[in-house]
Amino acid sequence: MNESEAKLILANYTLGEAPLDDARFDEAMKVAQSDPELMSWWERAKKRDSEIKGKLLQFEPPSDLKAALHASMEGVSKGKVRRRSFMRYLAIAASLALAFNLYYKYGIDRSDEYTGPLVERAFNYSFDGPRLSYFNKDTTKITDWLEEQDFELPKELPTRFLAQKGIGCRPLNWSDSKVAIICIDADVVYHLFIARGEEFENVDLKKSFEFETRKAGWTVSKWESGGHVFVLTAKASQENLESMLAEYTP
Amino acid sequence: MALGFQEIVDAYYQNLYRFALSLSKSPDRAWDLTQETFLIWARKGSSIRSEKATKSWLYTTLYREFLKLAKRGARIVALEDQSMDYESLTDTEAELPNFDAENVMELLMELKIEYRKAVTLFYLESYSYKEISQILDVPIGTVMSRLARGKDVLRRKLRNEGSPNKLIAYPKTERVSGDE
Repeated sequence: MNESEAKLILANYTLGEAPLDDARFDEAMKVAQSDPELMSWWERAKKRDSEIKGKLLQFEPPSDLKAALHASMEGVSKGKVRRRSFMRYLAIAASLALAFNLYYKYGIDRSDEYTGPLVERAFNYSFDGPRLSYFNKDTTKITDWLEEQDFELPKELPTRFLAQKGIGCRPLNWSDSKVAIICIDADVVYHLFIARGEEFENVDLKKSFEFETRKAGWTVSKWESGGHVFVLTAKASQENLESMLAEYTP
Repeated sequence: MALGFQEIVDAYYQNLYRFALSLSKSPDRAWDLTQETFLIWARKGSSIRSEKATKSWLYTTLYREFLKLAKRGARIVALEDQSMDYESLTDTEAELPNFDAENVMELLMELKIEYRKAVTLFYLESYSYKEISQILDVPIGTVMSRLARGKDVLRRKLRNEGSPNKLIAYPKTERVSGDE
C-alpha cells in the first residue's frame, strides 16, 4: 500500500474509534506510522472533521417536528393496541391487517405558512409537498372520511380522478375558510383542492376548465361548479390534466 | 431492551431530518421523509430489538423513501459508479474559517447527490464506509471514493476555495434530469 492508498483509507476514519476488524485500516496505519507527513495530515483531517460534525449536529430541525412525530406515533401505537386486541379475541388477524387503515392526526397545520389567493396558495402548497392527515388507496374512503370530518363535498367530482389510486387527504383551514385537499397517484401526484364558493367570493372562476402552466413543468387547472371552487395541480402537462378531468363537466 | 415509539423518535428524529434535508434540499420534503420513515418503522420495523440495527434500519428506509420520491419527481442526479482515484485527494495546511451550522448544511446541499448522501451519513453518525455501503446499497470501494472526495469538496467549499472541478471530473455519462 502506498501513501495515496493509505490516505484514502485513513480519510474514511477521521471520526469515531479506530475500527477493530479492518485489515485495510491496519495496513494504512502502518504506512502512516512510518510517514510523519501522512500522520500529520490525518491528525489535521480528524480535527477538521470533528469540527464539521459538531456544527452539523447544531443544525436545528423545525421546532414543531418532534411534536408532530409524537402525535403521529401515538396514533399508530393506539392502532396497534386495538389490532392486538382483535387478534386475541376474534382471531381475525389477517382481515384486520387488511382493514387497518392509516389514520394519523398530526395536530399541527403548517399549511398556514402559505398565504395569498386560493389558486396561488394551492399551487405553492402542492409544489412544496403537502402533509396529509388521512391516507387510503381507495378514493371512496377518502371522500367518506372528509365528510365524516364535516367537510361538505360537492355531489359531482371528477370521475377519472376518483378512479385513480388514492394517496390521502387533509381538511385545511385557510383564512378561516374550509378547504379540502385530495391527493391521488397517477405516475405523478395530482392534488385536488375543493372549497365552498361562498367562502372564496373574490376568486374569479368560470364554469369551465382554465389551465395555467407553472414553473418546473407543473400545470394548474381551476373551475367552479355547483357552488364549489376547484383547483387541480400536478407536475404534468395540460393534456394530462385534461385527461384526468375527462368524463366530468363542471 | 428495545426502545418505545416515542423514545425512538426522540433518539433519532433530529439526525434523520438532517439527513432528509441534505438529500431532498427541501424542508417540507425532509419533514415528510422523516415522518414517513417513522410511520413505516411503526408498521414494519418495530420488532427490531437492537438500537444499532434500528438506527441503521431508519436511515436505510429514509433513503429508500427518498429514492421513490426522487424517481417520481425525476429530481435525481445519477452518476456512474466510479473507481477509486488515489491521486485526487489533496489538502492544504489552511485551517477552516469560522462557520456555523447553517453554513455546513448549505454547503453540504451543494455537493452532488452521490457525494452528499455518503458525506452526510459520515458526519451525522460517524458511520464507517462499510455501514454507509450497507445503508446506501453501493459497493464499499465506491463509498470510500465518494466519501473521501465529498469531504474534500466540502472542506474546500468551507474555505471558499471555489470549484473543485480540477479534482473531480464527472463522467461524461452523467445524467441530469428534473428541475433540481
